[in-house]
Amino acid sequence: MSERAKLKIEGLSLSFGDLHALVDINMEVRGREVLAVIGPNGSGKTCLLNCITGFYRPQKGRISFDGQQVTKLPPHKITKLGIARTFQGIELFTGLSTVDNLLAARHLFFNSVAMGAPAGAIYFGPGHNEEIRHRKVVEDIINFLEIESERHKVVGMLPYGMRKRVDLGRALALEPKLLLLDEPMAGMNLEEKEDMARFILDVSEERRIPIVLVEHDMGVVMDIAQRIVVFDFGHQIAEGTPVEIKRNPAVVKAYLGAEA
Amino acid sequence: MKAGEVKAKELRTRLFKEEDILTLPKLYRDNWRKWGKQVAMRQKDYGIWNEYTWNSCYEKTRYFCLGIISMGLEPGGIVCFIGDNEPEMYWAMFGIWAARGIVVGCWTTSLPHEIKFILDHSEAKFMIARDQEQVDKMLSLKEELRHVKKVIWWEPKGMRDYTDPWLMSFDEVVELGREYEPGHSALFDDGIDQAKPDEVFMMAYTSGTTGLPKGLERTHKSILAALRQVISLFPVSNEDNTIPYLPPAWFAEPIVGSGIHMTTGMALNFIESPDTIAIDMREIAPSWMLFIPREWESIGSTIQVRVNDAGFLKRTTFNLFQPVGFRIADLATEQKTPNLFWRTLNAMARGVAFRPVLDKVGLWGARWGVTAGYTMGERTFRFWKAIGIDMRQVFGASEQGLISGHMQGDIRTNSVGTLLEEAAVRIDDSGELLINSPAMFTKYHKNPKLTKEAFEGCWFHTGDACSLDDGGHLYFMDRASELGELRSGLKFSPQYIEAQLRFGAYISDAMAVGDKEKDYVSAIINIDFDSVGKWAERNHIPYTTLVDLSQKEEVSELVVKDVIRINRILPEHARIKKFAVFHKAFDPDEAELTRSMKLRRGFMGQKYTDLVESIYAGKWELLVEAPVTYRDGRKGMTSAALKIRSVEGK
Repeated sequence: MSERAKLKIEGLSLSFGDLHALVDINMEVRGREVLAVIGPNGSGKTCLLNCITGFYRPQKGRISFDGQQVTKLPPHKITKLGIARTFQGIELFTGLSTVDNLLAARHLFFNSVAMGAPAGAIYFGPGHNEEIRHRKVVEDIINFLEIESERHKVVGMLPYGMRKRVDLGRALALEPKLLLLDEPMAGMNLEEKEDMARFILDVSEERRIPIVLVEHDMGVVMDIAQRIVVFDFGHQIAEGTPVEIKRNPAVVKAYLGAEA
Repeated sequence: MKAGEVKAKELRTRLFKEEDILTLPKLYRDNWRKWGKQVAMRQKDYGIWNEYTWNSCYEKTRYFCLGIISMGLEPGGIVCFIGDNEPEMYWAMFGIWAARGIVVGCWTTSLPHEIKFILDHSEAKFMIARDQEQVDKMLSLKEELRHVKKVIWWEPKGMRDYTDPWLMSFDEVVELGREYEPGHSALFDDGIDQAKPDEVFMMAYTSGTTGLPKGLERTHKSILAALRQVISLFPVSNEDNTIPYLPPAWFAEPIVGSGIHMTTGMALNFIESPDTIAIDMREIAPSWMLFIPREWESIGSTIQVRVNDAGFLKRTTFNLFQPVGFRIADLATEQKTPNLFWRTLNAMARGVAFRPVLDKVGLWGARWGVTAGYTMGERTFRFWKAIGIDMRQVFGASEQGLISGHMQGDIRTNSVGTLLEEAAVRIDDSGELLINSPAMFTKYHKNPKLTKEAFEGCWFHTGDACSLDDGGHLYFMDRASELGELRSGLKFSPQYIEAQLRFGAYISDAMAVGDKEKDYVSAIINIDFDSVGKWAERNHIPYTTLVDLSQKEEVSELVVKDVIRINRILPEHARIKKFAVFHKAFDPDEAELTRSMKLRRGFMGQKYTDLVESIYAGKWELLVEAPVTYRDGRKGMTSAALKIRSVEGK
């Protein structure tokens, strides 16, 4: 593929003592593709996301985003570069409303804090205008994800599938250039999964950004991903289109056991 | 008389006087000239109400009209549409009418083959489809459709990568209109001027309670006659607000949405999404609301559940004042004036208990509550009257427009009102209602045989079993074909029983069963999953799914209480002796309900013969397997052991 890599990972290794969580990973995310990362439990999928977002420090290797080294950067700086993620266990502010959760993500773009506390503390003036500007972005996302009716509801009261959607909304509020989704469908029923799959495709189409999707549900992955990377015990064992992955003997072995 | 009522009266006089000239687009143009800068529509988007003036609406209408003419819409050409109520759809409809075209609607939940039937039968040249979902349905039919030239969509979400030249956006049509304007600018006004009142402007396919959908044709003259009737009952004007939320495919839509807007100027307020209707209604506080009885019942039971869930103070206040409301409502029904004592109490009750409740459900500003479709249960009616809604039953149907309605000060809860001025009726020997009214449909589309059968001279066979009393009140029993008869020969109305059942706080739907081979009436009941679920949580009853919950012994106890209470108001022979709680909701996707949510009784009876037979055979349990259709069209099976229960206890 001639498309330039958005995210490039070279020789990435991560270990906790003797436990090798990731061993010599080489992969890239291109253009505006949906790239799925699959693998059995404990194969290092979430570790990979944590390395990309700066939560973990890999011992070896380098990660570059848009040509810039991000391996040693702290998480908030990486976010500022345009990498956003959702979490496997939802990490929202359960006591705040949907709107407030999304606005909180806009914190990064608020200037009135930088202009000094007074500007943000006074109702009128720059603080007010700024809030309206960000609210517009947030409302756009609410409209996009069709959560109008949950706008003012407290997130803690929302059903699970809806919270996952708000979580996705919060990642979008960061206006990311790369979106990392950590098991967005875990624990959902069929209908919620279908909705979420639809939204992921819509994000990809409308926002034109690459998406890295860590997911267990093979049906979903095969349907919406353009490329798949397979992990097993921290090793990258395969890479290719869904059709290639289905036929790959190493993948079948990792998933179904040695005999298959 | 208030200013608005004066306007309504003037309009009505004009509609009579200029009957042979007026059409909807003509009135629309007149109103635009009068009210150009005033608000005509509001749409909630991104959480904010956006306003559209008459000027801006008129402009969109005009350019859409020119645009679609330039693509080849001719007078009498048919345009089909499928979508929710949104401004774009109304502008498009107005534009098509100005071009002397005919619109016909499909239900948004319709499956592709249902849409295909309508498109083929009507030979529509254009399809206006809201969004990606509907466009996808159209694309799946593309190869089979012979007449459709263009599909026009207006909701851009997800449409970015659709490049098929068969598709076009609403904005592109408007843009086309702008380009077409030089040299053709008179076309719009000419169309409006040339249209005759007896031209067909819309068709509606009946929901198909009986057989395949039939296309009803409707002229400007007939809709304006119907609107005349409406404003005689409800004098609305451009100072009023409404939420057009009736499905546009429904025949009654112009009467309370597009048509009433074009004639009286009543402002249309479009909700953000169907899920937010409660909040949006509250913000708009519309001047009237039309719901079918089922919906009034459901809002009524929501109120009751919420009151029960409320804190001690609120609950006690409401329960304390409710009897006052009942008393006032009963007096009004008897046409007596309450004395000062009751009036004072009622004023207090409204201020403290009823208005806050009405505010919560968005009915705070409702001058009338309107219900149509079938008769509302007496208990529901009394409930709404008691909390201060001026509830009016109107009666009409797809074919005949309005026939009767409750007039100010002459309201009987179980009647469907007195006859409207222009509707002549006759009841034949079998008890069937015949009608002759200017608001009737003119004929069935491409079906002269059916048209001939339906009319006897100028009298139309309604198929409704009705009776008239001395006071001129009309009583609707049921569809003549739907009245049930028991072995004893006694008749009962399943619909009436079902309406009563549905008002129970824990029952969402029901089907009453009984025929000539049966000795008594029984029922299949759907529980209201939300309220029963909440109740189960409060009472620490664990459950997993709807199936599981529906068959709990405790739930059966809960439902039997409702049934016993309802039995008290039913005639002896029509009382429910046995019932089964059904394990799933009745569903239009499985053809158990029509798209307008009416029960398809005959079909249900056949589909669940086993269950019905078991009830009468004295069994207490039955394993039922029911096919279910998922949203994406896949089929599956659910099975459950249904418990049958006798109302008097086993």
